[in-house]
This record gives sequence, structure tokens and C-alpha cells, in this order.
Amino acid sequence: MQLSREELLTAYQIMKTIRVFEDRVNSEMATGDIPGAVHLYAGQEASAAGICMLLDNRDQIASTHRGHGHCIAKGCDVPQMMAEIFGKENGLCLGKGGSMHIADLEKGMMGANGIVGGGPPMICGAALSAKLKNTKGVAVAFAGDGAFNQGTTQESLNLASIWKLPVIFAIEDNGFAEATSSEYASAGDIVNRSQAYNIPSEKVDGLNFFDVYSAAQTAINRARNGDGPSLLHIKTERYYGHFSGDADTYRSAEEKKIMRQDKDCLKIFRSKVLGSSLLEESQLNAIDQKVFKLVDHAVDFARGGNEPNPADLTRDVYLKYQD
Amino acid sequence: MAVKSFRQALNEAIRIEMQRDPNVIVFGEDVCGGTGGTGEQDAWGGAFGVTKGLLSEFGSDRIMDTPITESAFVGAAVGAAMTGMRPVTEIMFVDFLGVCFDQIFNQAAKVRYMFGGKATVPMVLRASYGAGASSASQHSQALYPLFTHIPGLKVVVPSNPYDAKGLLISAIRDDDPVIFLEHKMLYDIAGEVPDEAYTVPFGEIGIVREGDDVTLISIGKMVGVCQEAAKSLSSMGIEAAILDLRTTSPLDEDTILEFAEETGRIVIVDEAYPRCGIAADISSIIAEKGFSSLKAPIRKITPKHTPVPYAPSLEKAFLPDTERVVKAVVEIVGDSL
Amino acid sequence: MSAKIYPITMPKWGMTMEEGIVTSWLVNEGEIVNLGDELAEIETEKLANVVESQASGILMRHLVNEGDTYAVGSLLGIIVDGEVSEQEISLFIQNFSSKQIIEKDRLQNANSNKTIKVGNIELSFLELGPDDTETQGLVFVHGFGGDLSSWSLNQTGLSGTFRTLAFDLPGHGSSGLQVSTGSVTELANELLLAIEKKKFEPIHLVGHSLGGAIALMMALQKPEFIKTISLICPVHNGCNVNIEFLDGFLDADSRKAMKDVLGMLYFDTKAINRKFIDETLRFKRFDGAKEALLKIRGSNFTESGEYTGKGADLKDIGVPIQIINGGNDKIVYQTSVNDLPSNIEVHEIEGTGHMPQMEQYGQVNDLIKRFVINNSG
Repeated sequence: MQLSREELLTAYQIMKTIRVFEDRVNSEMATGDIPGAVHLYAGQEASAAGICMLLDNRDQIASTHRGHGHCIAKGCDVPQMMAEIFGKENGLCLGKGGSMHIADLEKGMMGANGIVGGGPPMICGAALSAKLKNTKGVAVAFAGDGAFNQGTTQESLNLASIWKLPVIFAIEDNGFAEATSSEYASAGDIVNRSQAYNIPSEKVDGLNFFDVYSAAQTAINRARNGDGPSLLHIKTERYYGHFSGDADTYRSAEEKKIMRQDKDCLKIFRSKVLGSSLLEESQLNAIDQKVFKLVDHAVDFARGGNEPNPADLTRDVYLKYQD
Repeated sequence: MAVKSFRQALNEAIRIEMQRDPNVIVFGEDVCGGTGGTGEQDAWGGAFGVTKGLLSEFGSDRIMDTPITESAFVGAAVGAAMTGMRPVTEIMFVDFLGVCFDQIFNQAAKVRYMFGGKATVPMVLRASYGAGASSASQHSQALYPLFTHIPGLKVVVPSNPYDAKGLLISAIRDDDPVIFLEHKMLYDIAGEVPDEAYTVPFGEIGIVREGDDVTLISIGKMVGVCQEAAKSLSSMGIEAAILDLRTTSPLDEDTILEFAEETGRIVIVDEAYPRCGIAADISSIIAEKGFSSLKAPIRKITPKHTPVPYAPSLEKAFLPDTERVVKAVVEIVGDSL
Repeated sequence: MSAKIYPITMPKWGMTMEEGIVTSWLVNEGEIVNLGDELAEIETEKLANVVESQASGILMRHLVNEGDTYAVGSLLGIIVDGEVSEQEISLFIQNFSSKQIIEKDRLQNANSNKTIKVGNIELSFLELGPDDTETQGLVFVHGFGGDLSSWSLNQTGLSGTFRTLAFDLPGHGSSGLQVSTGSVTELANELLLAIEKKKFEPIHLVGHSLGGAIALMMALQKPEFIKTISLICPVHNGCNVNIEFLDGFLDADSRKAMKDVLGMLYFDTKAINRKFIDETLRFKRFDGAKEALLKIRGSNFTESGEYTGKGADLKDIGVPIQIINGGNDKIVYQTSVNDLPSNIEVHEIEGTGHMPQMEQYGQVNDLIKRFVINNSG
């Protein structure tokens, strides 16, 4: 698997954008200007980047409540995303959805979903469309370790398997479903359970972009060739608590320190590309600067936007309802 | 004009739309029946035979049997609809909505709104409903109030073959998610149904009968109960108008209020459970917007607050019938006529 | 002078009418009535209208009560011209009931919608009247947005004397929707083919509104078929049509909108009720119905409603023509009488809008009858 310089720079940029974006949303939350709660993706960047870099606009993804990362990786507009999180009219969903329902169908992002396990069935549908229309498109269901146990996910594995749908189930296992560890909550092993549905499945190091990219490539090619679904069990780390108000006391301070230090997919990426002289430090630093500027601009864009007009409350419930 | 059954009318609607638009696909449990078996394919054509014959005409890329996994395939209908298909999916009995209600009320209903109008979900979810066949508590409910309650869904309940075909064609052509409910005991009733394609719009009440003395408002199988009641009432010198709601969402409020004004007396007949039901909803609309029209309190003829019983004698006591309707009308007409 | 007893019966308005309610008598027992006088108000499922007197004399008896429902053909009352005894009246009433049942059957048998294939289109038609080819034949051509039931009061009224044939135009009623351009020429040719196939010619044409333009075109194409033309509120060269009606009819997709549009046709807007509105909407909701109508509208009228059809110029037609206009016609802006060729009879009927053949059917039937008889040579 050879990635060009361009592609390596892109990979880094995607991951860095997600990290800076999520850290910034976290600090903006403290000002009290963001309504509701957010679920931050920081720490899991390599998963989103490694998979989404292999997708184009005919491919669909569905995300979880922790959807900012997938949204950025799929190419959604970052300032509009920030504005959506701030609940502004110039947001990606006109302020109607917020963090948990952030979406852009034009980019093939079928939305973050507030219901655990809400994505996989929808993705089976998108995959069915692609198959019937013969677009060679694929559909990726991002789900967490918690969602894997949900009935909807299990049913979707079954359906994708019997109908040979071009689906990639990307199970991002960060060890916790809200405050409950996956070790406790999940019977058996995710790969084993998935293989029981006759679905090719593999365990992936979610902290290593290259591992994710390679496994994703196999899975996506399999789907594009009409050979049906795959599952990637991606071990990763969730830096923040489950949501913005989570004190995260169920993880020890020590664990969290080690996580930030030694389990940082961005650091790991940097050391790999610099170590093998694939890229130069100055290039990466330049990207850092670019990303900080982008996110700054995004916040300005969001703060500068208007609150949606109450007159728009009832708009878009239906395409057409009553005369 | 040819006389066809309710079932045939529905079958024609789906066939016409599948011929007209290659994006219309059908899937659900046993919609063909026999997939993977050694015997007849398309053995059932749906639990009630509504989709029979479609497999041989359109092939398994257009109509597919599913496993018993409502969450997955109703959710798949949502996803397919979002990405360019027009799925007509079904849950065999509306009572099964429990296992996939999230896909309906949190996904299908809300996707358009949450995404700022940048998504459409042109899907139809068909289901059989209704009591009277001794199918007992878990296979006899109406439940359309639950769907009606959810912004983002449209809810259609036809009462006769002509409307069934036109409403289903409209549902498939509609770009919003539509819940289409078919009373299990109406599949065999017959009526005049044109061979051609035609639509019946949503949000327009069917005026089944004109009458000056009282308005009977009803839906689905209960429309027939009202028609029988109106005959009895006529022989007593009381002329009842009959309104067939056809769709509970959108609801044709204007016609309801027009008839409230013209007759001054309202009796609503519905077989769904009474609490937070359609009868309650319409009563409140009339009480609020048509209060001055009323010459008598609004009456609701519904079951009591119980699950649907199994034994025929109990089921009969459960359901609204002609006698109860006539009695209520006579009571509110009193001596005034 | 021998006295005559005339029955007043429940009329049949439209093919599906089975009964009506006598809402009120307009003439008391013992009062003198003349031919054409309004005798009673009748309400049916579809419309409200009046029964007109078919005779002159004294309205001797009310035989029914106001507010009650009676089957089509029922004896409602009697008119007597001259001296009669009670006994004669009783006998008449007795004998009447048996005859009326036969009448009812005859009309019912004529109800089923027959069609005839012309080219690639099935045309629906209703034929009423005696079978013999010696009697004069009338062909009725309805207007835009209508159907052959526009003529129900006229077909039933005139089929006692004449052979009658009414068509649903292509794209209307129960006829097929296969319309090519929808031009008046196309429609006229299709009707002529149907008439020829049925061997119904020679004929007297009765055309309403756009049907008038079609009738004139038929005479232009096949003058040897046509003996006379009675035009009712016709469209012809130089006419303008109210586009609020034309486009409103095309756009209307709700009861309220359709009610407003249909109301423009009548002098007495109570004439339209919900069933009529619903039936019109049902017809429009067939796939292709609107497209067919759009073609017809587009081929024959400009955006502003001016009639563009060729050849429907009154002075080009060689056969006798009469024009019957409604005093309150809101649909067709008629050219002034002064601009019409002088050999054309023009009658204007008060108290009617664009549909005098329904609103003042007695007078219209009379005018048609006289015109046809006078020009049957």
C-alpha cells in the first residue's frame, strides 16, 4: 500500500482538523454559548481518516452521536459544521439538527444519529440503493462498541450478509459505551461474532492510520466488487468523557494521562512519516497552522451567524403537507 | 367500470407505480413468500396476498423477501429512500411496529427536518390493522393515533377499494414518509375501481353521505358501520351525513368544521383505543374552532380502554357497532327533530 | 273540446339520477300554468333545479309532499286543460303508475356507458331515442371540461321526438385520453368518424362552448353530413374565453378551488353541489387527464384566452345556424350581434349563465326542437 505525498498530507490534515476542531468545541462549550451537549471524537481520528479517504461522493456514511470526526473526514464544510453546533442559521442543517444530527447528503454523510444503532439499518438501505443502481458505491456504518450489541446492528449484519450488500461495518471500540466498559457489556469477541454472520472481519489498530487505511482498502474493494459486507473492529481511544458534561470519573486519572501521552494517533502518524522521511516536519507544521486558522475562522463564522428565525420552526417537517 | 376487491385495488396501485417508476421497490416479510425454498416462489404474495404476482413481473431486484428483522429492513427503507429509491416496505401487522418504531418515528419522520430540509424520505410503510377476526390483542390493534402524533409522518387509512388504489398511488408518489394502514377485514370487500391510474389526495375527507341532522365522522372499517347506522337512522326520520377521514395526517379540518356548522351534531366512530385517539383529537378541534356550531355535546363511539380480546363475544363488545352509533345519535337528537 | 290530462313527473337529470326531493311547489293547486312555467323546485344528489311545465292548463293536483323523495318518473302532479271529472282523474293516476315502471326500465337500460373506437381512441357516447332512421338525428357536443351529462336534461327531453347521440370528447368524461394536438380539427374529425361508423348521419348538431367551435368545424369538414347547427354560448372565430375559468379549471385541485371555478359557469350557483364537484375532481385526477386538457387548451386558445382555431367562422358555414346565448355568461365573451351574419338566428335567454341547456333547459329544448323541425326538409 503506497500512499503518495499528497495523500499523506491529506491524511494528516484530516486528522489534525478533527483534533483541533474537537478541542476547540470543548473550550467553546465552557463559554456556555453552545446549546445542549456534544460528544467529542478526539482520539479516534485515524479511524475516520483512514476509511473516509478511500471514499468519494457516491459512497455513503452514517455516524453515531459522536459524529463530528466522520463529518469532517467525509468532506463536510467545517465552518458550517461549527455554526450548526452553535445552533445558528448558517449551520450545515440550518440550526435544525445540532451536533447529534449533523449531516450533508450531498457529501454522502447521512447524519450523526442520536439513537445508538440508528445508523446500520439506514446504511443497509443506502447500500441496497447502490447495488440496485449499480453505482459501485459503498456504504459505511460507523458504530461504537456499545452499538454493536444493539438489535438493529445485529439485524443489519444479518441483512447485509444475506443480501450481499456493499457495506463496511466500522466498529470503533473505544472501550466504553457511555460509562460502561465494553469488556463488561459485550459477550464474546466482536470479530468472532461478526464472522458468525459469514462476514469477513478483522481487528484493526485504530491508533495507526496505516493499519486502518489498509484494512479499509480491502473491505471497500470487496464491497465495490460485489462481494458483500465486511467488518472492521477498530480499537481506539476516546479522549474526552462520553459527553461534554461527563466528569469521566469511571476512568482513572492515570489511565487518561497515559492515553494522551502514548495513545495519540496524530503523534504516531507524525513519527512514522517523519521517521521514514516520507514527509518533512515543516510540511506538517504548515498544516497545523492552516488548521488552526480554519478552526478559528469556523468559530468566527459560527459566532457571526444569526439564530434561526422562529418563523422557520415549521419549515421542512414535510416536503408538502397541506394547502 | 370493473368491480374489484380492496386487495386487488392495492395490488394494481403497486403494479402501476412499479411499471411507471423503476425506483419503486418492495420488500418485507413474505411479500413474495418461498424465497430459498424448493417449491413455489411468490407462494404468498404477502401475508394477505396484496403483492402477489409482482415477483414474476418485476423480478427479485424489485421485490424481495426479508428476514424477520423489522428494525433492519424498515431502517433500510429509510436509507434507501434517502439515496434515490422509493421503497414500499411493510410490517405484517401494525402491532409489530413496536420492534421498529425507532426507525419510523425517530429516523424516517425526522431526517428531513433535522437535516435542515436537505433530505427527503419518499418511503411508504404498509401494514394491516384492525379487530374483528379474533386475532387477539397483539394482532388486532389500530394504532394510527401513534403515527398521527408524530410530526413528519403522513398517515393514510382507506375505507373502500376505489380510495385504496388512489391513495396508495398518491402515497408512493409522495416524497414524504407515509404510513399506509389496511384493515385486515376489508381486503375482500368489492367496489368499482377504474383500470387506469388515478390519485386520491391526502387531507381531503371523503363525503360518503349527505344529511342535515347529524354528522358521523369515521375512518377505515368503521365507515361501513356508519353507513349501516345511517340507514337505520333514515327510517327514523334522522338523516346523517357521513365523513370518511381517509387520512389522519394531514387532516381535513375545514370539511369537519363545515359539516359541524351545517348539522350542529357530531358523532365520531373509531375502533382505535380511546385515550389520546383520533376521536379525542377531532373532538378537541371542533370544540375549539366550531363551538358555536354545536347543538349538542360531541359523542365518541370507541372501544373501552382495554386490549383487544380474543373470544368473539368479547371482541364484539369491544368494537363500535351500528346499535351504539344509532343510540348515540338518537340521544343527541333528542326531541329537537 | 275534449279535455286533456297531463302528468307532471319527476325528471331524470343525468344518467345516474334515481330520485329527487320536491323541495317546494311554485304553483298552487287550481292556478293556471303555461308551457315552460316553473312548477316545482327539485333537489337531487347532484344539483337543484326546477321542473318546467310541458303543457298549458290548470295545475289540478299536487300529488306529492314537499320535502319527500320520489323516484325518477314518479307522478308528482297533474295539469288539466278543459273539464274533467274526479273519476277521470283517479283513473288517470291509476293507469299512470304501471306505465311509469316501463319508462324507468327503458331509461335504465340506456345507462351503461358504451364506447366506439375511432383511430386509437375509445369515445364514450350515450344514445337515446327511437330506433328508426326516418326520425331526425341530433348530435350533442359538450364544451371544455364538461362531459355528455351536460346534455342530460336535453337528451331526455328531446329523445321522445328525435334520435339523440351525445359524446364525451377525447380527454373528457369516460372517453380515452389519447389526444394528439387537441385541436378543434382533430376533435371534429374524430367525432365525424364515430358518427359515420354508427351510420348516424345526416345530423343536426348541437354544440356548447368549445363544442360549438367543434360543431362548426365538423360542418366545414363534412358539410354533406350536417343539416343544421344549434350553438349554445359557442366559441368561434373572434371569441375570447375567460381565462380565469380556463386556467382555473386546469389548476383546481381542491374542493374549494373547483367550487369557485364551476360557480363561474352558472347564474344560480346553488346549482352545483358537493357531489358534482367531487365527480369533476375525480375525473381530473386520472393520470393524463390534465395533460389532455392542457393540449386542448394550448391548441385552441392563446395565453389570454383568444380562440385561435381555424375555420370556425360563422360566415363560412352553408347550413342554417342558430345561436342561443345566456344572459349572464361569464365564460365566453360573445361578439356583438351586429357583427354576425344576418341569416343567423340569435336568442338570448335571461336568468342563465354559461349553461342555459341546464339552467333553462325547457326553453333551450324548445328552441332546438323548433329549429330542427323547421329545417328538416
